Amino acid sequence: MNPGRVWTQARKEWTLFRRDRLTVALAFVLPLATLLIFGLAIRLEAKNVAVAVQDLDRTPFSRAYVAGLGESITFAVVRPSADPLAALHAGRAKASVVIPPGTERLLRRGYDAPIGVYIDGTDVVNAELIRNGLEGLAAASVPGRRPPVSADVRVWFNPGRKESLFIVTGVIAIVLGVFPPLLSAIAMVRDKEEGTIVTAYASRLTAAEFIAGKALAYLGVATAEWCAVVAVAMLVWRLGFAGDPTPLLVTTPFYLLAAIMLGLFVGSRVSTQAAAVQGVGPVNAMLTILLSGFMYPVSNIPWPLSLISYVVPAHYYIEVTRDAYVRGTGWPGVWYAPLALAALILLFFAGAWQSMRRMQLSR
Amino acid sequence: MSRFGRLGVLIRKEFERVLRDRTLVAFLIVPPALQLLIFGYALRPQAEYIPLGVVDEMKTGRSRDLVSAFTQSRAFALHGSYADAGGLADGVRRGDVSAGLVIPPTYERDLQQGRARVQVLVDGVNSYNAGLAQGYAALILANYDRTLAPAPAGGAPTNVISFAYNPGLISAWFFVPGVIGTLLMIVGSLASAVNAIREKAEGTLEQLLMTPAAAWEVTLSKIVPLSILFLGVLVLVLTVARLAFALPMRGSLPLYFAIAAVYIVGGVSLGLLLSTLARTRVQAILMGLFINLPLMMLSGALAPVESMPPFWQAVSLFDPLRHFAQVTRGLLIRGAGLDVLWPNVLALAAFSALLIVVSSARYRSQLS
Repeated sequence: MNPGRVWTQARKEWTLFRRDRLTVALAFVLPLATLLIFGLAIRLEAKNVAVAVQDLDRTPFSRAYVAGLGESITFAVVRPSADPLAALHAGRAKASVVIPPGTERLLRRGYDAPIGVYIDGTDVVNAELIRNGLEGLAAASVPGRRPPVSADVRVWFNPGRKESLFIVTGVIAIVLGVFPPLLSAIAMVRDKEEGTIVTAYASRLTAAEFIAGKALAYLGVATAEWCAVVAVAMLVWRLGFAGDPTPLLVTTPFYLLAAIMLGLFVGSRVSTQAAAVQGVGPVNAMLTILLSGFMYPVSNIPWPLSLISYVVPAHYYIEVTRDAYVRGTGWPGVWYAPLALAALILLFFAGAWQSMRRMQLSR
Repeated sequence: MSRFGRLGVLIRKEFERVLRDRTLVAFLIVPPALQLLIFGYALRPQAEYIPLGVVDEMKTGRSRDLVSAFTQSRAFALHGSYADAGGLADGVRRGDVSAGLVIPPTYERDLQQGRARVQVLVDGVNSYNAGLAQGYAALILANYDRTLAPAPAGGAPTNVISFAYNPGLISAWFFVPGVIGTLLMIVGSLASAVNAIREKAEGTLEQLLMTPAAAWEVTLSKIVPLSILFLGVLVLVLTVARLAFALPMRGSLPLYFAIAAVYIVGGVSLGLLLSTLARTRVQAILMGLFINLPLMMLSGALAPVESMPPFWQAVSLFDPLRHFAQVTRGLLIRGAGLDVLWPNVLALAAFSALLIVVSSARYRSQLS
């Protein structure tokens, strides 16, 4: 590979990119807008879950119990319906609690008193949180009881359990895994579609130099996007480095290159821009968002589907951003990320090179 | 030729045109079915088998009892024992374990006095899972206390919990309805945008202008065939969901397909609108992707709407996908009918009507 020719190819690519004003604008507006919308809107843990409470006991105990429900930040008490399931059916409440008549009397006599709880299982994301909350409330409402074993609970790294720390660090990886590959895929196919690739064939440029030049140019674009996205994220959500920033700084070029190479790879395999964009756009976006551990842990994905998540570059980078901004462990925790990303870069490069090489036989 | 005869011919012509494009048809059928399968199996929000590290400084039967109370549940899985809290801390930092239990050397003596304290550490990086882990730990301890404690002075209130509609908390039953709506919107709008732009590029649009067909007929002939095709895709993905995940279909299916048709027509019209805004297919797809991603994330398809901040919950009311996801979950999983779902249906109808009007107006101005 001749560095001079790679550089020339990169400069040509950069000029082409700069000339299309709309694409330049989209390249920066789309990631930033996505960052803001996702970062501000996506939360997993529900607060003020509507609970319909039917107090048939009407005693000091039951009233205290209902008041306890209303005071917890997890729940908001709403008007019950005659049938506890009707509120769930209508979607008015996520849970129905029925305190049967005679509850206090049972408790006073030393018996356990059943409390009916119906939780809407449709919302599996919050069903267990709601269950835990209600169970905790029941345990806390035992009159005059001190548990023999109690726990000091400490939440590490994110003591306030601020969800924005979890979501925003993920969104940084998501937008950079979604938009740069789109640009590079379009760039790869454009030459083919417009026929200008013939000039590349006619020149002394090899397939590897051709790919490397494009990758280099878009690495520049993606780095600029990264700076913008990280700067906005740090400003809006006050993200600060929790520890050693070098893993993030070292892994970032690997990640951006892996994302770009993915685009070039797909672009080299298809013949039209529309096909390239469809391949890299919706499909890559869904995979990146859903199989990278952005919202739900990768460890929950069953085998063999979990294998897919190993070729999703964002899977590794999310570990690094979360470590850099929240956990702060540094290299001992994420040493493998740049290595895995380097392997993906080689894989995608080889795939792109193979299909480009075939087209250059006429030499 | 009568009006409707002409419209019928236009629609048939459009149908043939769409079906002739093999890549488009493959793009309509294969990815949705595949993605439904992948995401239905892969997405699981529940924290199960959270890797737990234990520091047992007591090492007696009583302390091991407590450890097994933790590990017997589905919530935690024992991943390592550490000599001291420092070792556990390193394990959490490296990500080997995401929760820890520390039993002090004085545990047994404290227990006899009825005031033992243990430490529970939770990795807060995944704040949602940390909340679940905290809850599980508290529950396990409360139950453990109950087995230890001699009957307290009074009885205890005991929740008798049943999960309605989805007793096994199968996560696919939550995600599949969301993914169905997402795919119909993304694929529907992109396919119709690509299809309409191709016509512009090939110059066949001019040919249409020369026919006696009115502009609205041409617009309708663009919307109807794709919409029918997507109803077919819906049948396919519902069949896949039924076979793979035993997705319940408790409500009226004809009603569901009627509502879905309204939703799909909206998605196809959105694509038509995109095709009039964009000059090239790439621009149309970029715009489509940019619109679809927030639609997906704000809709509650992947994370419940109730979890979003109040402002964004209000914004999500303007997201057709939110209403369709609610209809799908309400009708299929909860078996609800129009008496409950009418606000969502009304909203969907309004969106689709608006999109048809705007897109056909723009499309018409392009025609003339």
